[in-house]
Amino acid sequence: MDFLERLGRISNRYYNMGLEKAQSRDLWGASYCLKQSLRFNKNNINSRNLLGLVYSEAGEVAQALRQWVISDNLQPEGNDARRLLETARRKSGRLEALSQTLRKYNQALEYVHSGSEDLAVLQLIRVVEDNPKYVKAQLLLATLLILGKDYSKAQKHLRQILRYDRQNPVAISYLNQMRPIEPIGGKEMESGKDALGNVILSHRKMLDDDVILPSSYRENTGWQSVVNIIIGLILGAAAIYFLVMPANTRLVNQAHNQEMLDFYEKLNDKNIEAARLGGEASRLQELYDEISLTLQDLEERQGYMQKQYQTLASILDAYTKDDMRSAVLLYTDWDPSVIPDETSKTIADRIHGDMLSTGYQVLADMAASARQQGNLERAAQYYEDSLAIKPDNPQAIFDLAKVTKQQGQEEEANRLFGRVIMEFPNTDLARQAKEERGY
Amino acid sequence: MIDFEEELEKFKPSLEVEDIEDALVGSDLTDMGDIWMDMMRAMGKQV
Repeated sequence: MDFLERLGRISNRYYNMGLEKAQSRDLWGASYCLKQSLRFNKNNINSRNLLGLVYSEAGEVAQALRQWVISDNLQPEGNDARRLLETARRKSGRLEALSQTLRKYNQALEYVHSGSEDLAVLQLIRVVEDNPKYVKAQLLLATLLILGKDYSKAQKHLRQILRYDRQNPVAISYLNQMRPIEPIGGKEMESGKDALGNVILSHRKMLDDDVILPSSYRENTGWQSVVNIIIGLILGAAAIYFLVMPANTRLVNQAHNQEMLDFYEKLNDKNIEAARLGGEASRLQELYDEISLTLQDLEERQGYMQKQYQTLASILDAYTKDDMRSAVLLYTDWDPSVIPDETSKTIADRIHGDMLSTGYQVLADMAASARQQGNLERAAQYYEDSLAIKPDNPQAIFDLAKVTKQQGQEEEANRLFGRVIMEFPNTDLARQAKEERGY
Repeated sequence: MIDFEEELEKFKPSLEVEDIEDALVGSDLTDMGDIWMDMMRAMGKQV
């Protein structure tokens, strides 16, 4: 399959997932899938338009407009984006109101960063009153309320979020983490009167001298008489039917029994067919599950391969900028073995060669620098990365041993000193290693 | 247990309508296809 065609199919797959999630009101999930879709194919107009719609629904109207403008520019003809933009322009009043909420949200965020959380709460309350679907604002408000220990209000806003974004992971996580709201104890039910004028008291308010008055007898009203007459007619009719027409009943039952027999025979046949189809359905379900797992596995591998291509591009970019430091750091996290095409493999071999000749030393120098700054953990990591490229570097092994010793890991340090002694005997480093070990 | 102070740090400003133009100019629309084609061009191959 052509590589670009494959990318297009993956993009469509993500689009379908995003659409499904949007339809079930999982805005967060939909947004994630649609962004993934666009990473594989930026020209997927359906994904872009739907992403705009999801943004719009979540209150991020500016992001929505941005996506639709890009979409319209990528494909001016036969594109829903233009219609959506026109709709937004026509409803300029509402657009302005929503723009205000964005400004107020950003202002509230500034309040938070400057320590004025109470002002931020007031601001955000106004924002979510204007637009309760603005998920980010609801979330920030809930967070601030939780910090202020106003859990019941926080829960109210978190539940509001889940009304519009049913699987929002942050809201769900917050709700799960919060302690249960304390029951509003001691609140008494109010007394009242029912339609008959009798006093109704809740048992909370019952005192010793309170009495529950029974309903008092009242004369039948007009509608009750009508009901009584109807009941009488029904009973009369039923008596006539059962006393006067027994033969008729017998005939009806016989016909009914035959009908039931025919019905059960047909039902039995259908059950047999259903059992057969059920087996078929199970087999198809197993096949579907297997294919889903395979597809999932393919997508994961595709995603992993895509990441390696991206890393390769970044490494090449670092080389063009003469930034060896970035290049080696990217290289340590790179897995070129999954890249299939020969051209990229050739490039990978050249990069590996360069790392073997100079890259490992760049890492060792970075490790030494980190060690000087007192960052032992980072220094150890860089030494290990350097040794991963060029394992037979006695200086790096020795320096790593020293760092490990400084970190208090005596056993590991001695093991590394041992390596220097055994693998590089008769060297100055071996002598120093012996001294470190106390020989 | 959630560290809410840490959670607060994750909130970033929303894009405002007035800033859409700048955001559009600065948009990076690079996708996987672009990266692949750049690499092929760098190697002198015709796509």
